[in-house]
Amino acid sequence: MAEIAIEPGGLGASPNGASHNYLENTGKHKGILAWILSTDHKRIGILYMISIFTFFAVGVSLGFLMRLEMLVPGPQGKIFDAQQYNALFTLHGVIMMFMFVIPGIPATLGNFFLPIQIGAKDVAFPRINLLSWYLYVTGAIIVLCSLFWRGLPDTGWTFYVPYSIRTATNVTLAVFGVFVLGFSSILTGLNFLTTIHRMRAPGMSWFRMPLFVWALYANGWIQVIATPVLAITLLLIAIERVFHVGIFNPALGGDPVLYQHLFWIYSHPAVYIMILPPMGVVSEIVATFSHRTIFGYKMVAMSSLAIAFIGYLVWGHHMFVAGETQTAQFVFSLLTFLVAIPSGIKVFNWVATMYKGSIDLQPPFLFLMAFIILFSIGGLTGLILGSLATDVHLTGTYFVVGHFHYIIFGGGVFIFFGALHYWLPKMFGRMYNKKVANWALGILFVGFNMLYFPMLLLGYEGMPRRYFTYLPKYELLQHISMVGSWVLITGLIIMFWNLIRGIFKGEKCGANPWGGTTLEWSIPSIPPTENFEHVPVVTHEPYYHPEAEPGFVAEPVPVAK
Amino acid sequence: MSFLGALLPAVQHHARAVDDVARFIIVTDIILFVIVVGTMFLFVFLYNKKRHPRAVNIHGNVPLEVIWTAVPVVLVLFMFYLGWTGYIQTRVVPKNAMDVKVIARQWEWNFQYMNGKTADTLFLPQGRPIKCLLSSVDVIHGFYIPAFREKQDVIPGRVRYLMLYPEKIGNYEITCSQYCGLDHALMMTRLIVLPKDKFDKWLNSGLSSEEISDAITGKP
Repeated sequence: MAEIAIEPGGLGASPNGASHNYLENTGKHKGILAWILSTDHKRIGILYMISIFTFFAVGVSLGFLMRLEMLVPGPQGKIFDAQQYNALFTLHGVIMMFMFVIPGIPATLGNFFLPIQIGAKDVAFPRINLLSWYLYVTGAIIVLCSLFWRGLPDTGWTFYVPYSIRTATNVTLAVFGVFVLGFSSILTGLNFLTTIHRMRAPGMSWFRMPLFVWALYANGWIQVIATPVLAITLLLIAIERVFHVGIFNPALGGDPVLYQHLFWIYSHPAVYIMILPPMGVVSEIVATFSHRTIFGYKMVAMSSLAIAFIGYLVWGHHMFVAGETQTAQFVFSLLTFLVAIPSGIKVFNWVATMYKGSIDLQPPFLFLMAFIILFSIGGLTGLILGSLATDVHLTGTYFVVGHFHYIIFGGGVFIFFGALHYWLPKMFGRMYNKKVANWALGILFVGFNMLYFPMLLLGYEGMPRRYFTYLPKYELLQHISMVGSWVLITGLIIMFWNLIRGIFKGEKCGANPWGGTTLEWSIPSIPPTENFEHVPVVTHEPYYHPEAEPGFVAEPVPVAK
Repeated sequence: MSFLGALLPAVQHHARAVDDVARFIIVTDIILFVIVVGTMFLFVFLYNKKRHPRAVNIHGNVPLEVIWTAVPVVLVLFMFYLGWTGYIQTRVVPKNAMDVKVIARQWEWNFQYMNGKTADTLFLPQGRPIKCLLSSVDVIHGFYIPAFREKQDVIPGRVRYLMLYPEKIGNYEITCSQYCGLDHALMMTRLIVLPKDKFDKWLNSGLSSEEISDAITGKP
């Protein structure tokens, strides 16, 4: 069976058995140095994974504390005072955005699997890849330092001026940390773009690339083009704070709305940085577990590019009530509705891919089903916010908080978890306990909806966000939401415990436990250091299921000599 | 009373218009959600590995893809149209509108009337269009009246406006919807709509708090 041009002995496995897997030390360094000085994209992916999930744990803890504050309403904060609560949501936002979801899937699983999926030995610039991890760690440490020096930043993750200029807390350092994190993101994007353009294996034409690669490609362009705007904006804030040059501050003759424009010109595309890679993972998982080719491959690939392009043009919808002209409101609202279309098309294509498939309900696929449900709710509530009349009522309320958590957490992060369940067996050669994985997902799903659905209702009732207290009439929904956060965290603990246990103690799994067809499933589980012993030659589409073609007759499998 | 009105009473014409737009989008959303998620569950049931051991490749279907692109485009354009027309009606300033200056500062609201009277509660007469002129003396705030479904950011150095059409006598919340620092959550006040005669009396000579609460509850 011509799965991939397979050499005798299989890809990756050397005929004389001398090939090492990437977890074995072969370089000149030992111990931790063999990891933090490694330029192997797989090791860098794991370094990112450890650091990113460490910050995720911090971000979740802060979120838990924010919900806990809602235990009792009242003009004095009962558990935290106002200043502490303001710092909590600022840090929760900064950590989750800049240290978890933006690097997220590309820096971890993208780093690990992008080169393998296109049949390359590594990314185009392995040392720059390592540098971007160091920039990430440096930026993260700088942000954390801002915690311990002159008071916690309390501006919200958006750093809106003039408040961010007037506050006495330590904004400059936090802003500088985010600035450094931005460069990490730019370098990763640049590296991926070059890798995809220049390093594809023979026969890996653009339309034979897995859709995860397409998603990372679109994502790379956003990272490279949009992130510098953030860097410029943050630099301008720092200049204004340090040198008192009037740029955004009206007291010095600046324009605060200009800041919002610059901030959202980056941060709206950043939403697509958060969601495009998960969308790529969804395409992989749905094709693998349906055991058939993806429905509308080109439409799914091109809609990633369409989202990346239109995504640049909708930033103004964050500022409908900031005093835009009616022309701007008209254009931004219209474009916002149009950007919903390619996302919708993707969802339709994924569901259509299940049609006449042979669906294997393994944990990654169940995560995908949870994704479709939560992402749909997120997208559909987005329509309510895209419409001007309703946005004016709901912007700045809990409705927005609920909406973007459905998109980013329910969509992006749930599929990040799904991707871990999909690819960790490949990375470490061991399978987690599937039953526990399914239970964890069930608990996560219930907890998630308890936590965030009440926020949609609270928002419509007029509860503004970023309040350390609330009026008594909101008590019931606030409490449901708070209990939901406890359920969600229980699910997280069970899931991560199960995954980590699986990495070390799980049953050994073969090279291809799911029946996947993309290149990573053709090499041994625990991939070799060089990925492929022989450069693969690609002769067909990524989701190649000849047995699912109409009129297919099973032939005797040719045995390698 | 509709579900949305039950969540939060809509006390001016525009607020009900917002609820109408929201209702249309929510109902459409629920239909789309049931179609997408229902189809997914149907396929997972029908094409389960046990029930359907051999998959069939389908690479695409152009007419189907055209339909599921075109229909949502029409739907969202209609939603856009509803949202836009619902919104711009609040930007028209009628000739008989009364101006009230709204001044935001950390962390309180202040209201100035044309005769020079100032207050920290917004008193308005029933049945007359109000043009709120919003300005801030420090950072950005958000002037938000949930029951009216209206909101406008208050930007230092600029004057923005917001139109209100008080219809029903009553006492409503005003909150700050744009994060503005320490006591952002406590930057609340009330909007009190009075009958025209009571309002004029309040504006020119003042009312006791008893008279105000009587006016709100409709006592003579």
